[in-house]
Amino acid sequence: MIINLLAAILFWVIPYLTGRIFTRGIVYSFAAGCLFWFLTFFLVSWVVSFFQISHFSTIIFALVIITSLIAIVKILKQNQTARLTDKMPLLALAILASVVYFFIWHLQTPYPLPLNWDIYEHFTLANKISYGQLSLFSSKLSDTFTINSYPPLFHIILSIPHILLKADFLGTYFFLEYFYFLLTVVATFLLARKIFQNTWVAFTAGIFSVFIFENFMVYTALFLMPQNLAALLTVLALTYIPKEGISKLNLTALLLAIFLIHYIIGALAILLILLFIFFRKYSFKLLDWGIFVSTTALLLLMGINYLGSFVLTGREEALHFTFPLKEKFSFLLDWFSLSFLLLPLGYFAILKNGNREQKVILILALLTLGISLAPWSYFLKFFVFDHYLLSLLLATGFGTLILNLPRPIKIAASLWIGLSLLIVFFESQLAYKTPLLFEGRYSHLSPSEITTARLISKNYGQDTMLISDPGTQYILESLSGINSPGGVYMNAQNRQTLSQLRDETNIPTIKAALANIADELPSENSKRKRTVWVLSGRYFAWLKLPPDQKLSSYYNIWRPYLLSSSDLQYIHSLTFDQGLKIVYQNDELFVIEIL
Amino acid sequence: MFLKILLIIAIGLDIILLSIFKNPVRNMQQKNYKAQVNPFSVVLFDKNGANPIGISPLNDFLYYDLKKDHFVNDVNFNQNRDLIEDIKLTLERLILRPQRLIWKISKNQFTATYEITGDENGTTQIKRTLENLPEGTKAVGQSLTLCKGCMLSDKDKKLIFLREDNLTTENLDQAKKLNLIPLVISEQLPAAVQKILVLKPDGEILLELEISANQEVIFLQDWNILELKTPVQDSNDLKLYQNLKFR
Repeated sequence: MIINLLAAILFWVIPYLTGRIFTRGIVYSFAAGCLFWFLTFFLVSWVVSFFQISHFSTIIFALVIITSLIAIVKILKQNQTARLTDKMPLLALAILASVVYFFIWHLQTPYPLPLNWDIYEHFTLANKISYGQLSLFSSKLSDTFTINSYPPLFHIILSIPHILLKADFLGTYFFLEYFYFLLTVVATFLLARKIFQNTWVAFTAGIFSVFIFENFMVYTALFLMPQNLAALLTVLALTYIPKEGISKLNLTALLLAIFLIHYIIGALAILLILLFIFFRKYSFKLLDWGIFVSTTALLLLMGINYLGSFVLTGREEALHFTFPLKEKFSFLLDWFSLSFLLLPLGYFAILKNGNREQKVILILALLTLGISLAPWSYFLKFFVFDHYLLSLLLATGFGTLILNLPRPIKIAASLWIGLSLLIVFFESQLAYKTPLLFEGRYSHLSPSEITTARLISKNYGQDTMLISDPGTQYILESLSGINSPGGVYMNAQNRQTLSQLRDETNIPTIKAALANIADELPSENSKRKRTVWVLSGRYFAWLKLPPDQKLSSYYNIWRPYLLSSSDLQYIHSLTFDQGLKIVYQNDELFVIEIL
Repeated sequence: MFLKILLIIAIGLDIILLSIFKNPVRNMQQKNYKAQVNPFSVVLFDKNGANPIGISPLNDFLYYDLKKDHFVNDVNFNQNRDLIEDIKLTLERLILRPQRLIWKISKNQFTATYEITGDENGTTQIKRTLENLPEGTKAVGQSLTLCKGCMLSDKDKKLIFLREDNLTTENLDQAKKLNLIPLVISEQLPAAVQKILVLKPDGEILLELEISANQEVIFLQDWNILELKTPVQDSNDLKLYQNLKFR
């Protein structure tokens, strides 16, 4: 656990230290460091490949140590001490966030179990990268990726602590997401303090940031994913970009890093940052027009919903991420409840009395809200920026109410709003977690599956393919490093073949079907000599889904299941009765080797 | 200032009330089982989320002199929210482990409130609060719809109760496989039975059900329904209890 905690710290520290060799400032250094490692990993991968040497991780290890030492020496020479003002509100928010994270969010999800479904594909990629496999296109590294939304910058940074400390991805991520959550709260506070120059407003914005959990599609504060990291860096950029004397090099590096973390979110992030830089130089009259235009844009983008919904990309999944406006409003009410009542107060306070930067923030908030409410599939994901920007606006609205109140009443009012948001958060996170309940724990994953993955990892290598239902193979591939055909994005043909094995007891038929289930990457198929077939409670539950859901990548068996007596009867008929080799078994699954 | 304070209080209350309204407590999780409100029933699952036991006004009975009727005869009944109870349940859930689940239905004047209360040891009480009972109600049948393939056994797990009109080779084979002696019954279980075990299809005990001295136990095997018929005094309102223990 300690190693994983240290690894989680190093995820943030190593890029920062490396970046400090080239520049200063937390955000610029982190971005520069990310870019450095992005380039270095590709360079080292090319070198080891060209010279046919197999010391990729050793070289990276050495480079990390060297660059970190250089950075530390440089920092010590500069003899700079960081000044942190407003320590008390920040400390209070950090304590609040920690209590919320460990005693509500993770109350029945003990270490190292996660609640973030997306992390498994990131582990799969980071694992391959730590062995020197690199490509700008994620889909070329693993067929778990069917779309190239980002190059592997995030995964490169994730692999560094794994290479350094041989840390476990799962355990590392448990702490990583905690630190990430803290950072989202701190970032909201810092941005609010910079824009509004008012500690009460900043503190309240931090409270909103703690308690607003978008429990569908967005997941800003509690899930560390490339798009959410890109948004966090954007907020930090808005905080730390100076009014004057912006270094073009620093800015370019920062924008490039954000873009390389996630292309699509990064593109909007670049736009927001550039709009922030340029708009804050405009006159008040122009900015008021800007507010009018962005309000109109918001209403128009909402209005377009009445023309219909528009599915982007040819992916089947995209249909399920397209929502009518009414449903999007319902999501917003789930996440914010009626705290939106504070929005008009914040809106008019800024319109009437706001300074330039406050007006720009209002414009950006309205634009991103309009984009996320637009009727195109996946657009709700852009709401990740509004997690921060709306927190600022709502806090401003609250600030107008408590402005001239005596301090004790300000405190009581803040506590009251905090309590009300606590209930909203509680309901929001419970709604997300409830379907994942298994044996008293909330998680997609069980301890038995972790043990299974470790065993598979010890006994099998690159010549093995792991096949199961999409959910099981997605998880086991990521935790064991053993390839599966597509993970949770198993293609339709493979799904069809697998589903035909329901109730099949003829061994030659089973073997032939499993042999036909292939990876999308020819290189993986050419290595394959063995197959490991995992018959899990999830697998049998997946087989019972209606045909259209089995073929869809949107429907998965999200949590573990115990094997039922009929499942066990079926397995026994294949193994004890007909001799298929059991490698491992527990209450939840059997691992069978097929030669 | 006073208006601002009022506004802050009102906004906070609105935030809380909407959140509670949008998220009624529909689930309860205990160590050995979970309870869930479904569209037309409350369902209890074992700790693995399997072997559902259903409780529904569509299967509960009201007995009169010459006939009996379900609480409601079709799915067109109202499901009522009680905001005060919802607030209490939400706060209980926030502060303590969730221990209660409430589901209230009504049709015409008749109202039935199902309250499931549990504890860490798997003991569950199902309380039915019936209001505006039809006149002439003589008895109430509290029904449990058993899981598919589940069986009834005695407290010592030696017997398996089988209806005489449902004696199939499959049932008898299952009894043999589990080393249980089939006890053939008509509709009612013997009066001396004070505790029943519900067994899972693999023979493991799912739950224990206590029977009161004044209750008749009726087994409608075709529908997999176990009914506890309790005579009642002629009254407008009454409360009835069933005690189960999940293993």
